[in-house]
Amino acid sequence: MIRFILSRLIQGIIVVMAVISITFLIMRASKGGPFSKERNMPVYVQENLERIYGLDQPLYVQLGRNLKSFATLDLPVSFRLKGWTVGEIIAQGFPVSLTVGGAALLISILIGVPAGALSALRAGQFEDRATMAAATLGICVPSFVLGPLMALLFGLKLRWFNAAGWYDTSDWVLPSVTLGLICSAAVARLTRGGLRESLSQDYVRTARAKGVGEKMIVMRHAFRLACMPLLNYLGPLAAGLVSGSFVTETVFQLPGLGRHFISSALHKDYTVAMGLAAFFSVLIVVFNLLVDIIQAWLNPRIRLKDS
Amino acid sequence: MSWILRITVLLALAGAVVWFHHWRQQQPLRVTLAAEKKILLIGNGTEIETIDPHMASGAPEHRIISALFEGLVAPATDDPDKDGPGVALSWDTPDFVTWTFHLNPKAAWSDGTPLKAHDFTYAFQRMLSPELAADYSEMLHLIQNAAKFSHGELSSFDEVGAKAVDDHTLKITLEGPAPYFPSMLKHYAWFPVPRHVVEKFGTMTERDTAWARPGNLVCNGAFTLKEWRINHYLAIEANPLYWDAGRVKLKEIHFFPIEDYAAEERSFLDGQLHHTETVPLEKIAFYRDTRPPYFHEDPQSVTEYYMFNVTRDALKDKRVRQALSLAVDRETLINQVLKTGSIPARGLVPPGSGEGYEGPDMLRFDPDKARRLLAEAGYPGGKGLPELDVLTNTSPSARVIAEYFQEAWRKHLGIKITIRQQEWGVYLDSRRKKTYDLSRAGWVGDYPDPFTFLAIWRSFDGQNDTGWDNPEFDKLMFESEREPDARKRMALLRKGEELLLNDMPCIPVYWRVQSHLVRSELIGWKPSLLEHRCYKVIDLDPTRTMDMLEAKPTP
Repeated sequence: MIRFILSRLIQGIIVVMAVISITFLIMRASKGGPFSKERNMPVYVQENLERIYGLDQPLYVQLGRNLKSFATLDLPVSFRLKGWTVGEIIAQGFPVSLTVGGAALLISILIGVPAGALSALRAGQFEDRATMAAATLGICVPSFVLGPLMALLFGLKLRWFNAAGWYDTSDWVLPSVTLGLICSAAVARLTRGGLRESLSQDYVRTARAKGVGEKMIVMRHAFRLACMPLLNYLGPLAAGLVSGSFVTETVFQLPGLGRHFISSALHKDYTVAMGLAAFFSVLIVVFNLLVDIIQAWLNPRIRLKDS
Repeated sequence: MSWILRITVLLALAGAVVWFHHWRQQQPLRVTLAAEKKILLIGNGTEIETIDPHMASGAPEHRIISALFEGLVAPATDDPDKDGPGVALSWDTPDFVTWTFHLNPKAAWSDGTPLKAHDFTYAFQRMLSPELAADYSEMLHLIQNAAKFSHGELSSFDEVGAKAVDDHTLKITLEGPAPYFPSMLKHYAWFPVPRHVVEKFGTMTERDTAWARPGNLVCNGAFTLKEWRINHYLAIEANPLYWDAGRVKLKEIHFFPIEDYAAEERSFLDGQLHHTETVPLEKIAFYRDTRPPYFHEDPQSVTEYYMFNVTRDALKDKRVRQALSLAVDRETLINQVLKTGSIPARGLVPPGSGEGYEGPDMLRFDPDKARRLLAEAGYPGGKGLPELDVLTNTSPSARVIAEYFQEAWRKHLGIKITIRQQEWGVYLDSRRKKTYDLSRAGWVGDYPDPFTFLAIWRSFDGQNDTGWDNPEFDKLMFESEREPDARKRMALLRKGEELLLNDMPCIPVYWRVQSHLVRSELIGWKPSLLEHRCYKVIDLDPTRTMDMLEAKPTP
């Protein structure tokens, strides 16, 4: 087990470094630069800036310098937000994204899992069709439609919550519900599929033949296995949710990480883009590792070995 | 039994929802609470990049920095576009070349350190130092020898025309006469910075130091920095050590970086903002028609235009360029298609750019003449002219304008164009590299003078991405920079604009009018062409509340 975790962590470090390198190379290959403005900069100023930030050096030197600063956690400063380090930017935005994303994850599980289970147990009946129709709708409705609708209804019309902003303790509700509802659709579909499949397994038939009660079969035997595909989905989903969503953060004006993802790419803020990509890949690695451990614990047939 | 339980739970839930709803309705709006505490809440567009006046570039930065810092000259209290006393109580000049500024002895930094003339020479030196690589350093090239120092041709700042005669007298010598010089000093590029704080966190020319961060920043304006949370808000509070502190009415101002127009509008309707930065394009006509008391339209010193890449064979002939401009009906585009309230351009320089300047009224919609010119240029009915590549950014209005042009040029001239919308950074890159035939562009005036709009068309100017090169125009601009007589100077500039509009390296489209939603609590806010704000006279009156959704003032 410990060997497995260690080996995965070492793989993770390689993945993160690769992500940083790829992000850097893609950003450098794209047109425009961090100093582009509507007002052209004098050539000598542009040259001085490139010299100050080392952008005039060969790419491999720049890449090496960036990898070194990330590896030693001596995080570089942003090109755009002058004087702020990538670490400070992430430290300011992450708690907000974590709150909203964590709540959204919880909402998606609390809605999605019971809905999916109900649908699987009543397969082909009205409950199944209604739930799956709602889930299909949920998958189709994008957050830039649902978000403003929620803000209009619960913010401006009913005045239950702030339509936008991050001031009161209840400000996580509308964005989390928006994200949670959308994600719960996929969770419901996966739960349904997983449960349907595990209910048709031989060991379930055996349990039924032995006279085990239906409740016991579903809760104890079938559901454990049914969680597997869902868990595989929840790992990356959790990483995505807690690292912020650009659309939801824009609609609800949240000072989270999601907006930095897009603005750093648009403004060619190389260091912030690399930092966020690295941070996101760390989250993915960690959540996937957690999922593997949980799966091994749920399913005795899985044995964790270092690959 | 179970149904009784179910009904009880349902009833309890319904009761809770009703109570919650009732309780929420009783909550006062954030704007009302803020107005009572004299805290102004305003939308500020894009998140600012810095508070350091020498590292900044952009309107959102301008709005915040001008509240925190003050230059020699400040926006006048009655009209922010006029010049009022800032750190300098008065100034005099015999010839518009040599300027003497008499500093207010009461002027001080927010930590109590007296502000002296040397702080300005230090700031100018920092701004002009090549090692700092300040975006706006060229603005100071007006000062004698400043350009040489900036380019590294002069190593000693002593030879640059800015001298502290004593603690409270500053003498600035310019390269040539500039009657508009005082109004230029309201731009943050000319603001002082506290040497004792800058050098506590690094050297004079070091970038990215922490001196301008919350907790460290020392400034000299009507407000000081309280808090800055990225993408969230920036709060400033009244500076008790400001020389005119007795006049400042607000206790705090909170700037909200809201880039999304629709989100800003929702925040306003939700009672979270007293003043918005803008109004969504598609809602402008609605607000203008139905919410007049809360809808404000402020003309700005901004020209939106399309520029030609005159290095392209097809666009080298000015008759082709003139034809394209004549085939565009600006009135219809602005008033019936865009409906933004902007002013259809009649020239390049927007109205109000400089006292005594009358721009030439030369732009017309004349499709017949356009066809004739195109035929004379050898492209009758557009035949033989290659399909033109029109570059724009991705803003909603940019697309609408490009499509209108596409249709107008097809209909009136038989010319086909391809619209190429590019994301901002890529679009700017294409412009710089001249990989376009026509490109959308905009120019914001830095000071109230036609020169700020015309100088960018000089053949050697870094902003001229068109390849247009007219020695006569360059000569007129050169002469205007050396003409001491204000009237003669304006005549030279007007001649320059006429020449430009005749040669047509660009098609001016409109002069921008910026729309805002403004709550009635806000008083003392004056429109400004250059977005100058005299924050010290702005106030909030909590009794003047309103219901924005109903568009009726509450009694």
